[in-house]
Amino acid sequence: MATRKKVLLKVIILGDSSVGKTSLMNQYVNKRFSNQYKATIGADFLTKEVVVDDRVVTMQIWDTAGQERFQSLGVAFYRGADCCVLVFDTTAPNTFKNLDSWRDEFLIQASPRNPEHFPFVVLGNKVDLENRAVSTKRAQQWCQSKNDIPYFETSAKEGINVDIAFQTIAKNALAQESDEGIDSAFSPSLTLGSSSDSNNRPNSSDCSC
Amino acid sequence: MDDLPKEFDLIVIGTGFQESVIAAATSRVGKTVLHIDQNEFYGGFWASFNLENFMTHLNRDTGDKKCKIRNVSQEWFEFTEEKSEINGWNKEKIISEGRRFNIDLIPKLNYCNGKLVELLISSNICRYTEFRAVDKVLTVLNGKIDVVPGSRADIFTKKNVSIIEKRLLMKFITQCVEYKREENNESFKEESFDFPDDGKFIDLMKQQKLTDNLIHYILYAMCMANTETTFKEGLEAIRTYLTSIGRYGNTPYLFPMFGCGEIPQCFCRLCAVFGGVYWLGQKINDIQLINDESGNELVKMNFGNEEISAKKLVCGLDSNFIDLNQNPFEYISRAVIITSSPLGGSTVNSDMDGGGVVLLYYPVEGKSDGITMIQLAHYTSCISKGLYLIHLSTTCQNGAKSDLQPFVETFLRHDHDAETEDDTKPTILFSTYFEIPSSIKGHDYVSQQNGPIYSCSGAFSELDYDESIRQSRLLYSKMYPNDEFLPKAPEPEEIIIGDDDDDREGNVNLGVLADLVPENKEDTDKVLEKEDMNKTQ
Amino acid sequence: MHGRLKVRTSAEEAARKKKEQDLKAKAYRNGMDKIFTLRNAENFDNNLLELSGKILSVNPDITTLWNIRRECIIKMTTDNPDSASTLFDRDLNFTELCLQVQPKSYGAWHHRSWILENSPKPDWNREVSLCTLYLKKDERNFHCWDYRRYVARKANLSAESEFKFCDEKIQKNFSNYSSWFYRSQLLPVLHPHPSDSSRPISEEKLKEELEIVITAAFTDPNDSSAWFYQRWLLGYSDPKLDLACFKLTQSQAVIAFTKLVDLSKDKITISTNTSLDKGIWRSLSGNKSDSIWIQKGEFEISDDILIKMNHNDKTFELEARKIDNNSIIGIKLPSFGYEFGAAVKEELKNQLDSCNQLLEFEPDSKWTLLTAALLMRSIDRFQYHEKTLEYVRKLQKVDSLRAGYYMDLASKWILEEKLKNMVESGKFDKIDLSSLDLSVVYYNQFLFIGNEINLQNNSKLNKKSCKFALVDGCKVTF
Repeated sequence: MATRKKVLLKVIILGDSSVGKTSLMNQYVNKRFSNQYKATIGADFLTKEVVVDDRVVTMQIWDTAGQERFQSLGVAFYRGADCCVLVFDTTAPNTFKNLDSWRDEFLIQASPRNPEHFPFVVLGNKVDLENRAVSTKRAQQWCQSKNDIPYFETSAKEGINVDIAFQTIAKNALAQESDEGIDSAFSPSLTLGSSSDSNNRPNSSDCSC
Repeated sequence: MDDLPKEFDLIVIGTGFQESVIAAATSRVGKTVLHIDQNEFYGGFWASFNLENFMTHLNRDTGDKKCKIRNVSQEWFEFTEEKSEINGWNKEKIISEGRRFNIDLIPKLNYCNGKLVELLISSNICRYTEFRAVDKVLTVLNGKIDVVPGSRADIFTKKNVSIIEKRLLMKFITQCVEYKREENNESFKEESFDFPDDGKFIDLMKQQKLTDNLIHYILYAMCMANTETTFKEGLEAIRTYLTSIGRYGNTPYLFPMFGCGEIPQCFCRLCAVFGGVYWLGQKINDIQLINDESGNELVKMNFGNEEISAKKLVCGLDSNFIDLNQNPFEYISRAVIITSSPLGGSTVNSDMDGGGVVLLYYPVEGKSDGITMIQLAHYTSCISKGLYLIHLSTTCQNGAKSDLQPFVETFLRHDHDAETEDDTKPTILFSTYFEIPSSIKGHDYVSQQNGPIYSCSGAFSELDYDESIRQSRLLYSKMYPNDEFLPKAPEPEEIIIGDDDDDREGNVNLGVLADLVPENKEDTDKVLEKEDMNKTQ
Repeated sequence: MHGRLKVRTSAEEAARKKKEQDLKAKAYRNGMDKIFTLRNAENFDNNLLELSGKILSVNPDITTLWNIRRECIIKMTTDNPDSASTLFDRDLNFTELCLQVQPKSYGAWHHRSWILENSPKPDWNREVSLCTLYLKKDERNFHCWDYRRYVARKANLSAESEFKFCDEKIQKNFSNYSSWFYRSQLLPVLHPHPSDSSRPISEEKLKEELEIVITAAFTDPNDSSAWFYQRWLLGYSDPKLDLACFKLTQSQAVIAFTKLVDLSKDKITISTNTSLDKGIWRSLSGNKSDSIWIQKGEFEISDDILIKMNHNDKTFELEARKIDNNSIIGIKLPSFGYEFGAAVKEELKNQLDSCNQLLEFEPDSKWTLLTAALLMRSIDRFQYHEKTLEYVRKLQKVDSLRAGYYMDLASKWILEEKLKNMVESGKFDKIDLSSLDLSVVYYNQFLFIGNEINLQNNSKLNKKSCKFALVDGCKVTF
């Protein structure tokens, strides 16, 4: 039995510009929505602690920071993702068509160990708007054809389905996480900065009892 | 809706290290930045690639560009029917796994207490990448590969160093760390060196009765210096080494997970978070200087169907718009070698399978800098398990092959003959040599630049990023003398979302305690009442 | 300012942080309140576990909550025995999460051992792996070392494998009291001394250990953990219980032991085949434990006496002789340390050579002086007596901060030499300890044997250390 570790899940959100990626994150984490559209500024990543199957999980949701606008997301963005959320705008058919290329792009860049079973979740956003152009059925069919990707219709503005969608994202990301054995809780890679700095000084002269 | 603005404060062409630092710093203080690369990938000369893209990139025809990678050669081990694989690897298998490799054009390490780590932390860019502490530092002592006893633990366990040597070594390095130049500081004087700053570092060590082996470890492996190094230089080098050790690991160095190509991208991410616009793979047709209505100089740039103007423009060493007379460059000789066993064999690899990241500095007679070897195992996510990626670098003198030959011929081999089974020498399964442009240390790249078009220096022939960061700061302060350089970026929760001011108060993050907050006023009152009672008690 | 990133000002951020803190405090108080209400109502159920779990996962150091949790689990498993394994498993996972928050939480480690002791199928090997993991993260977490010794015993791990583990940790960082200590517990099991049970480990192993410890000491002399281990190896531990000294006069008998004993409790019987066996021994100080015990009465001074002490089925003897008509005395020179075999002595000599070599470079190096002195005493304390004194006297000067410690050390060594000479000469009447720069008097158990003890001209002497002076018939001059 593997030792339980404190889990940090990295979730990345992909999709065309202005489908509402940042708004979905903000609605989920901060319960806030701003109607005024502008290209994402200040959106980096947000963290939220969630409880999944009795476990406290820290979910880190990474925004594209606008770098998707001219297809210029670097490979560094994709590193170590535990789940990939694909977002389209239910009123803009092109954003739905592009899901294919976003999914392919993710699989190429992130090159996950097990591409067939990597957890994706698809969100059809802006269902609060009248001018719907992508039917639920069409979206569901696409998701089924890609190894049954879970599909949710959301409204970041009204907060519709946002919580349940992210709860599923956390659950699937966690299920994906393999029982890597006892060692994985303290991975050998280092994140710089305050938290890991302090507990990693073998030669410090403090009390040695 | 997705129209690109027509005016920016700054356009940056190229996503090499210095270009990315300037872009991030400029965007960070609220200026608008358009960051373009003519390549489809980030990093320019600082990029990392998988095996296939690496070879494609090296062999790419770059026309009559002057500043470009040159003298590329590559070679595979000749697998035969009898020798169809070595340790389970052959050409096909390596190529099929090559998708996962991350091969640096210019590999670098960072001192844990060095300028890059300091900058990543002070700017909060550190959250965009992860590192691995270098596992081992090797040296060549009396013709044999040996592990450098760098840390206290190493010195304690080192077998062929006598206890007296251990004491002398520990005492010397402790003294180096504690050494203060203030002559009037009595408490230090007693334990201090009495030695002139411009004296030879090696002579100081002899004066301190260090043995030849100890001098070798300190001079070549810890300081990467030579017999000409002065006391002052040597002291600085050993202090950087010693203050870096033990901070994150048992050696003073860090290597970025997934390769050095991640580093420029971290700065780009910060630039983007602060509103910088990114567009890769854009051929630039034309750059002109124009004057606006009020007579101010502007830069006008044409690319694709776009015409953009900006107050300033910065271009990288790999762009064709750089003035090479003002920005002279030289070359670094490079080799990338893949093997299926680690350097030094079982004698230096008893602890684990070849280590994660291994550094070896090999002095070359008659050359001011030696050959730097960085060996990567799969722990860095740069190569598959069971393979080793060996990077060799030195300043270019007689061409890559010839410059690096002293190392290759001594510590690697081309054959795989069972008869001469020598496990300290790995067989080269794949090798490529090339020369890559680099900037000249000590050259003044900045003071003559008066804009509005500026140029960046490229990589320097140094182990870490210190000189590049120094140059970036200089250039930035030349461009924006009144602006701060990369102040700490806010944490995500400090950022105000939306344009309304109703978020000033912000969101609170209570974690698992969230649902224990009393829901109604009654509850709260009850709790507070009780608290009051407790207080009066 | 459209499109510019807005960041809260520091005042706004401080307000946000304060609000967060306030709400957390409220949540905490509310949670604690609910927990106590449930407990007082004896509502021991999942709800209580969940509530306490939330607070403990933020702060695992609240002992009360761990107690309540145990109370709750006991209640729930009593009511429903089938739920036991689920509950135990859940809490094992839970403590692990708490330990990640606070790896030095007494409460969490203790709770873990409680679960395992109560669990029907405890997996002790898993616990060992857990310790390995935590000691990899922090090799000096003594909570975890304690826990490891406990679970390793439960898991019946071999001393060999545990020793190997300790050794790895020492190699990584030898500033580690816990690991040296564990080592000192494992070595006697793995490498016992073949003939002498008072010696912890065999000579061969001792030689190796001495090499390791001197390497650590030379690498970092300022680290005290290695020194403590060296002391253990060289035998600077408590003396073994034995009879030390005896003196019978017409009005009293005094008997002394090598260490403190409580004759009323320690199951020590003293037999002399004289009237003494019927009398009552009282401690010199009046304390329950003492090394010097006295019996008052009227005694006949006739023949030599053989004093036998029985303790734990072992008999110790001391021969006391009549030296004149007024007294019968017996004295047994204590063992001041181990007598090492030739191979170990050889190693100690090599180490002494290394120290002396270093002293040529650094004549004032305090730890080299001290090591050299200790080594000399271990090789032959009396042959090197003058030299060792010279070194500690020098240490008093170069390491003035610890001058008192060195003086005490010198006082001890001087007393050892005096005692040895006294026993060899057989002259006990007058003991001259004047002008020796003594700071403290050790070996009180032997000094009352004299009738006149001269301690004059020891200006720094702590007179309180001269307890033997209280013995009637001992004339002490300061």
